[in-house]
Amino acid sequence: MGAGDSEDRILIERVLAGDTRAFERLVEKYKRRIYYLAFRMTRDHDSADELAQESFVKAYQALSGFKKGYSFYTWIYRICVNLTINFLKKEGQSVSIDSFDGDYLTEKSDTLDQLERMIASEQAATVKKALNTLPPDQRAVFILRTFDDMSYERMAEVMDCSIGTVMSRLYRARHKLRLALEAAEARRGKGEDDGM
Amino acid sequence: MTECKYKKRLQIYLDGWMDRGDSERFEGHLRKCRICQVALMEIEEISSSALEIIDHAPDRDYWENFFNRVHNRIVSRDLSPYEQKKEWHFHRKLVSYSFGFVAIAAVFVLAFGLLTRSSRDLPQATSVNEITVPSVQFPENESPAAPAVENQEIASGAQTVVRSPNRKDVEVEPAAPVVVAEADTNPVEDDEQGGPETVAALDLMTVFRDSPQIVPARLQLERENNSLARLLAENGGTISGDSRISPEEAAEGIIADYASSGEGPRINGQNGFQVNGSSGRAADPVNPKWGYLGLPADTVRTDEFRRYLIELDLMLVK
Repeated sequence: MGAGDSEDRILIERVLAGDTRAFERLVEKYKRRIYYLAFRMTRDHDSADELAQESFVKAYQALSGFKKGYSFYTWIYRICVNLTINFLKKEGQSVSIDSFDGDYLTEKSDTLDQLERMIASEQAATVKKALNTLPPDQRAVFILRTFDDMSYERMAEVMDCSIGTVMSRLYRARHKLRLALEAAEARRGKGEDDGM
Repeated sequence: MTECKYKKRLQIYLDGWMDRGDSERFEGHLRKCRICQVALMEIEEISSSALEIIDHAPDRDYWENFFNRVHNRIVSRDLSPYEQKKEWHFHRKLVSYSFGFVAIAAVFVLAFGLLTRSSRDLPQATSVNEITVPSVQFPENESPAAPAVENQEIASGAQTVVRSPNRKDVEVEPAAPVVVAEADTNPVEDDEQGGPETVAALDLMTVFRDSPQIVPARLQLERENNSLARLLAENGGTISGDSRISPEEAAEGIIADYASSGEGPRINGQNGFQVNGSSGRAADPVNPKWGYLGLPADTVRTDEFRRYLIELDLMLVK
């Protein structure tokens, strides 16, 4: 158990002793990660907000059952992933993909030249679109690995499955995204050819 | 060659799942294998493209108020940080234990009810509810209101035990001490009785006159019952079954029916006691409200005691 996990354990004990400020500290520590996990899964702010809040509420409710030696970080992620997957299944994955118009590039892309910037933007849009078509469980492992840099073991705990299943889902997710990128590149190449 | 047998290991290498030795060997392979190099680039491109996706960034207010919103949800739902599952398990255990306890209690109550019923059916049996004293003798009463009490021989077995009112058990609680006027207490001599040993005669009327006559409280009623029970026991009386009078009975009207039958004087009180003066005979089938005192036949015939019983009934109504 790392230092962060030890600190979380102490905070949990204080929460169970009636210290709501300790719970606030836990929320403050993980709120952004949980929110962005939910947002990347749903691509919708309102849904992400709802799911993030519910994740902490459920964690609070089940805090007395939190097992010693377990990681709160993993646990809260697991709650959020389960809630989000259930949400997506219930909603039929009909979640607003493009709830806002905006540049898909992060700030660091500003340094790219215009062509590269455009390509990067298109690729990001392609991955984003393709990501939303993935089954929830594959989408979850891809997001956890790519954005949270989560290890296989931790992902297996979060997803409540074996490491082999994590690997399999991640492989399939990357393969589908890869196919989507290739298709986009093919369309781009065809368009350039047509434009010539 | 379009495929490489090590291509499948690219993912675990990229994700840091290989140990150091395997990683170094794989990196050696990568330096030589163009197929694996291209495949690795494709995987990395996917990740980098995903990371290029700009995520909607909520404003500062959103983050500052995030915990408040979470807290409001918790408060509005009245949640506690204790696992409901455990509570459910606890409640389930509690319910199952409660059922078991109730079932056991029901068996005991049923068994006790059957036992007490069988004991009441015995006309002269000395049941666990009976307190018998060999003899009784009433002292001569000097009170103008009470006639003299005759010392009468009490034949053994001349006791009537009749049913008691709606009492489930006869738990005679320790009664409050009864003040007995010493001047009225005369020793009883066995020789005069010519029968079983008798206890000192008591001026019952004096005794109970000295006690509070108005007994509105149930506790006092019970004390009165217990005093009576004790005195009866000490003076040859027999009490069977329930000798208590419930407050509900006391709230009803009283009919004092000084009746007599061929079997002996009988005092009926709607709220209280039916005394059957028949010797050695069980009482008639009774109204479940009746309380029964088994008294030696001679005692039943005393006006003194009869008057006491009437007064007791009257007390209950007050």
